[in-house]
Amino acid sequence: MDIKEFILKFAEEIEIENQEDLTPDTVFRDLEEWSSLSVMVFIAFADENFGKQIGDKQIAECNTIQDLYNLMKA
Amino acid sequence: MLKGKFVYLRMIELADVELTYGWHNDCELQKMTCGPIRVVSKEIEKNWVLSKTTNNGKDIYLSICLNENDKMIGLISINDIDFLNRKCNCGGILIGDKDYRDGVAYRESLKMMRAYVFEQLNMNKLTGKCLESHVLSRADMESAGYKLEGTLRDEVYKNGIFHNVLCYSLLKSEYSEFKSLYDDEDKYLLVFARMVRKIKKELKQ
Repeated sequence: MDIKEFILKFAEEIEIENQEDLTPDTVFRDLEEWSSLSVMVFIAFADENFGKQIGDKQIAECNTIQDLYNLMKA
Repeated sequence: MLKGKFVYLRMIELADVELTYGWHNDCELQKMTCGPIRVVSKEIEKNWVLSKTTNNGKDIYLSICLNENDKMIGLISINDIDFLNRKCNCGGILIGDKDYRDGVAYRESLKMMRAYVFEQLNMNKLTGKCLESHVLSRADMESAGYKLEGTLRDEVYKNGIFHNVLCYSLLKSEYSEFKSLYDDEDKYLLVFARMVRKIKKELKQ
C-alpha cells in the first residue's frame, strides 16, 4: 500500500469528511474527527491491514500521517 | 487504596468537590452518561460528595488519581452492593480531565474496579449499562467478557432524542476466564481496539 492509498484508507477509518485536504504532512491530531476512539480504531486498522500490533504510546509519538505510514512500514 | 501502574483509586474525599463540581456541570462530558444532564450548585455538589464520603456500605465512589503526582483525573463508582445476592453495579466511570482521555486511565480503572469487585468484595455478578451509542463503554464491557442481557428501548431522553440503553453483566466465572486477558496489556489493548472499530462500524450502518 502506497502513501496515497494509505491516506484514503486512513480517512475512511477515521471518518474524515474532507479527504481531499489530507496530505502526508497533515498533523492528524489537529483533525476535528481525531479522538481517543480514533487511536483504538487505528490500532485495529493497523493489525488488520498491516499485521502490525502497535500500542497507543507509539501513536502518541507520531505527528503526521506520514509518521503513521512509516510506523506501518517499519 | 487500589494501586495500578498508571493510576490508583481511593475513596472520594470532600476536597475533591471542586473538581467533581466542574465535571458534573460539564454538559459535553455528561452527554454520553445514562443519567440526566443537570446543572448543580456547589452546595448540592458538596452535599453529594459528603454523602458518598460518609457511607460506603451500598455505594463506593472512588477517585481516579495519577500515580505520578496524585492528581485526581476522574471518578468511578460501584453501586447497589448486595451482599446477600453477591451482586453490584458499576454505576459509571468519568475521566474528567481532558488530558487523560486517551483510554489508558479508563481501561486501568475499570480493570482495578473489576478486580476489587470479584476478588475483594466477593461478588458473583457485576452489571453495567450504557447508551447504545457509547462506543467506549460498550467496547470495554464486550471485550472484557460481559454478556448483553438486554436493551431498554428509548430509556433515556438526552440531547433532544430518546436513546436505547444496553444492559450487560459479568459473572465471577466469566471474570476468571477473562482475567488472564486483562493482565496481558498488549493483547487486551488489541481486543479492545478491535471492539471499538467493530462497534463504530455497526453504529454507522
